[in-house]
Amino acid sequence: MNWILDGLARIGAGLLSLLASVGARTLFAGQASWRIVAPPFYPRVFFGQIAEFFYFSLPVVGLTALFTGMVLALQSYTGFERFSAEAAVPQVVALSIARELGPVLAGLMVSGRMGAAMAAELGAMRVTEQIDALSTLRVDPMRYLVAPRILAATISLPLLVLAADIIGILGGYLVAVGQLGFDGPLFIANVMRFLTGGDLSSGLIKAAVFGYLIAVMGCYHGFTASAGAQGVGRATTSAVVSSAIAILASNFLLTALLFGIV
Amino acid sequence: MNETILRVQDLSVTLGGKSIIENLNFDVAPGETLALLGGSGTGKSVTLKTILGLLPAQSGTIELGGVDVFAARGRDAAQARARIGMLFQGAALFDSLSIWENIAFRLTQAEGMGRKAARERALAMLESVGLDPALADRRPADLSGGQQKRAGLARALAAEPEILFFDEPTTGLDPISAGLIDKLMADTIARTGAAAVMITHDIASVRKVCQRVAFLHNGTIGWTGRVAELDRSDFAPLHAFLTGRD
Repeated sequence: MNWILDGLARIGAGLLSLLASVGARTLFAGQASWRIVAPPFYPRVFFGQIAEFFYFSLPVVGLTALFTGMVLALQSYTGFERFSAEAAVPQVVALSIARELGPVLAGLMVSGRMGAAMAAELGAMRVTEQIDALSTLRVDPMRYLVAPRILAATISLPLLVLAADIIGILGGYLVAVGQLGFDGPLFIANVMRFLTGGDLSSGLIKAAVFGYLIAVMGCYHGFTASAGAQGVGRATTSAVVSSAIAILASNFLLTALLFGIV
Repeated sequence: MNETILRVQDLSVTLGGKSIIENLNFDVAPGETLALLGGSGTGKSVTLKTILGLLPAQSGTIELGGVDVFAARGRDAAQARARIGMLFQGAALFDSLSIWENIAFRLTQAEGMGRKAARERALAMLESVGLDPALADRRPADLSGGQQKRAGLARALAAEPEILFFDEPTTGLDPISAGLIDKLMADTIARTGAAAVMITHDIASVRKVCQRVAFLHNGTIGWTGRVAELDRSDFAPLHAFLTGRD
């Protein structure tokens, strides 16, 4: 009997630990989100973060979208060719990029780039007492460091995804027209006819949620880093892993909600 | 007028279920300089962080300028904390800002001073701590350890605090730089009339800068007295600390 009780105790401890971990992140997100709307604000920090998130992430997100669109055109063409449905390639490329691949791949790329960078920067500030120094200088670290990052990420990721949508469809267009013999104007016309505002906006809503989650995870792990360089390294890894999981899990929920499946 | 700028009464702090500080009592008069001495793990840094509001206390009170910082809320608490200036062990300058932006940080971000006026104040502060104003637009990483400490001191002084805290100010510096920092701290305290609390292992630094010593042992004050009385103390742990022998 003891081994059953031990097993149950371990499962219970694991569950409690998981709940505590989710609770800590939720509390952190709540405290930071409140500071986004309550003054004082730090516009210089905010615009600096917009540059980091949008401008400096654009190349990596653009390249990811370009190659994804190209591969998607090739894959859908070879698949649809089996039942003579090659003409659907433009629609499939556009819908897949706008609804799913644009936001998810941009989110994952940005979580690797910016989520890690935020955790490393704030983690380094934590272990070198710079965050403590902010408090002694009468500046709330959550308000100065975290709130502008969360707001910048929530605004920037939809803009990045919009760019990724255009570049991804362009990638599909280049392959379809240049390699698969599609008519260029017809490709564009098909994309325009089938792609609705709802498809685009669902992707952008997802992107805003993903941006928020990336910043919350990055800031949380950086803010709570400890134990020197090793702790900062751990915080960086945890930020990327937890934001990737949060993106994938929330993507399922958002897809179900946005397309009325639940 | 308050007779003390800092009063710590019956302060107890527990971290991770372990008692670090128990019923700690000491106070600092305006213009007075107190050294908190003690071996590693005796609770010096925890005491400092609790006074600064960075760690919670289980019980006790901390008064800054007569205001109980645990009981005070909002503006009162902020005003009480505004009396503090802090020099961190590693200076803790913000990497992403220039030296002048670091020094003027509190002025621009918390006190609403314009950037032009704040920059002028920062340049004056740089000179007052013996740094070339030409360093104003450099980043902290461009400065030596001693220069960073000076810039950190300038930042602590920029808002004209009534009490300064120094956390291991000479740790990691060569003897010449440490001597210069000691002199700078002593001169600054004499010039501004601010009170100061210094946490350190460096007895030479204590003798140069401080008037009074509180020796922490087992999480509470084991001995307190004037600096001149240090060598005459018969408190065995302090004697061991001073001589380096058990």
